[in-house]
Amino acid sequence: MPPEPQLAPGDWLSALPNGPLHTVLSFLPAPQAVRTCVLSRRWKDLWCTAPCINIDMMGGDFMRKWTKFEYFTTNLLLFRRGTLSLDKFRLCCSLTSQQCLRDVDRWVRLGIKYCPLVLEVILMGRIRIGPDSPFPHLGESSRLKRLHLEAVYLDRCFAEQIQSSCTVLEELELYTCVHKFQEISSRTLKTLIMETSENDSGQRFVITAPSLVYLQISVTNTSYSDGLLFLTLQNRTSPYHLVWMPRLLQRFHLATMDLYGGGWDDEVTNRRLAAMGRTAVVKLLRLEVRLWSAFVVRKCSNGQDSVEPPLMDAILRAQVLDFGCYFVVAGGDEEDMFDAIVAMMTPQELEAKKEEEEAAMRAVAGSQGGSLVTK
Amino acid sequence: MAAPESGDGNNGAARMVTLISSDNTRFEVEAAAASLSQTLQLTILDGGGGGGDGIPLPNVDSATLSKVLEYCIKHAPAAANGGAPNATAVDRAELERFDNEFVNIDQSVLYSLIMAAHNLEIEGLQSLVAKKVADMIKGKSPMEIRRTLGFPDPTPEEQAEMNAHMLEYGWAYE
Repeated sequence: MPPEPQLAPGDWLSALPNGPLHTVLSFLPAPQAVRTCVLSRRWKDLWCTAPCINIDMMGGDFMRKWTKFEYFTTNLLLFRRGTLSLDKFRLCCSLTSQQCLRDVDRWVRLGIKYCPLVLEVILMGRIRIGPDSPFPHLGESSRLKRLHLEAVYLDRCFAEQIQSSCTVLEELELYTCVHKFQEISSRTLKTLIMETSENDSGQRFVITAPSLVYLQISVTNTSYSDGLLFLTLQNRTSPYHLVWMPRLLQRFHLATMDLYGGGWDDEVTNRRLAAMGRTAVVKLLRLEVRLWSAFVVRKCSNGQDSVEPPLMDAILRAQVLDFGCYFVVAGGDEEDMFDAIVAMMTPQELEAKKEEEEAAMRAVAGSQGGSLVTK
Repeated sequence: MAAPESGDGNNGAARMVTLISSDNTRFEVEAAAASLSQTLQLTILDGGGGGGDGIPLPNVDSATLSKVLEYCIKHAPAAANGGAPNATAVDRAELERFDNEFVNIDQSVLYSLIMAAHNLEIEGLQSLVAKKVADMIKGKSPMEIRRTLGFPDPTPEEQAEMNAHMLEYGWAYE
């Protein structure tokens, strides 16, 4: 056992450089982080130069009272010194009235001004946020790498900003958001999560993200009834699209996966693919058994919803394309919800997975009585 | 089963590097583990630390370095995976258990670890140790914090200064 601290009694903590101390502060609730300023001279200005602002109403300090929270937050943002850009700005609060939205809007705008690397805004409460209080403009967020939003309203401009202003954005996480835009397009995006989102645009939703490695979508069937389109333009010359449309059919979920290549028929698509020397890499994984019969693949080059081969067929067809990705479709519970995760893998990784999953699928089909996989 | 580990372009066994602590103890570790340190990563990428020569770390003593490496070795596989998507819940729970155990240490060791994590720029470790300190502070009054962490009592002037300061920051005490 090492003896008691060898350092001069006390202040081993104060002896640390600002960097580690700022990290310590980032793990404290904001009110307490501010209160460290009375510990000693060393600590006096530490909090107001910290590169991380984390304001959370759920802590014990505010007892969920908006007036208290508003008073504190406004002061914190006022007293914070300097125009140094932030590593992280996080705001988490429970709205108690429409009035709160004005405060939140003001704070978020301030937060954006600090050009954070990470921006998180988490709203809770029963206040319904509509088109009259959209998420503020992100401005020239040229440093923003991660954006995490919960229960905010995103207007059409939002998607434009993601595409043109957020030039280094890698992670976009939207939880229970309502969005008016119908397209997410980003060259840099690596992770996209859209959980329980609501599509207010009334149009088919399109994702174009050539760098994407992780996609997690959970949508209600009603709000994406016109479908989801996922474009993986891995190299810009590749025009192959994967269209994926979740729809509700009877009590089960009907999801349609379309493979189409910019208006060509299947044969042409295949020839082009062959000419490019592409290999089979799209893979469906871990399907909920009861979703099987609801899966349909169709070729939409001629605009017809004609072909409806069973799932195994769908997998084979999907393998023609080279998106360097495979699908993990999980969930599909009774609550009108459909979850899917798409992850991209290298061809080698895929080969290994493929064998493993095919065996697992056969086992599942066997144990479920096999009737689901028959034609 | 001989699963052929495709070791990121490396052929055969994992590459090892040697790190030398301030008291001249040599530690041989996998390059992947040592590369959790942003500071070391570049040197290692340049081919340093292999063969006879090691990478000297004049700021880190052997006791601390061995503790740091224990962390790196445990976390290297998860880091190589790029984190979240592929990690199973079991793996994550195991890492969490390890982390909790890992920071259950004396304050003086904690101090050395914080300094080492800072100097070597090991992000995960920096957060882990900072969180430990934050937990020691959380929910305590300034007085209790001073006591817990053994701050010297403030001089009268300092106390007066702090009192004035406290008035200014009344809004944080509501």
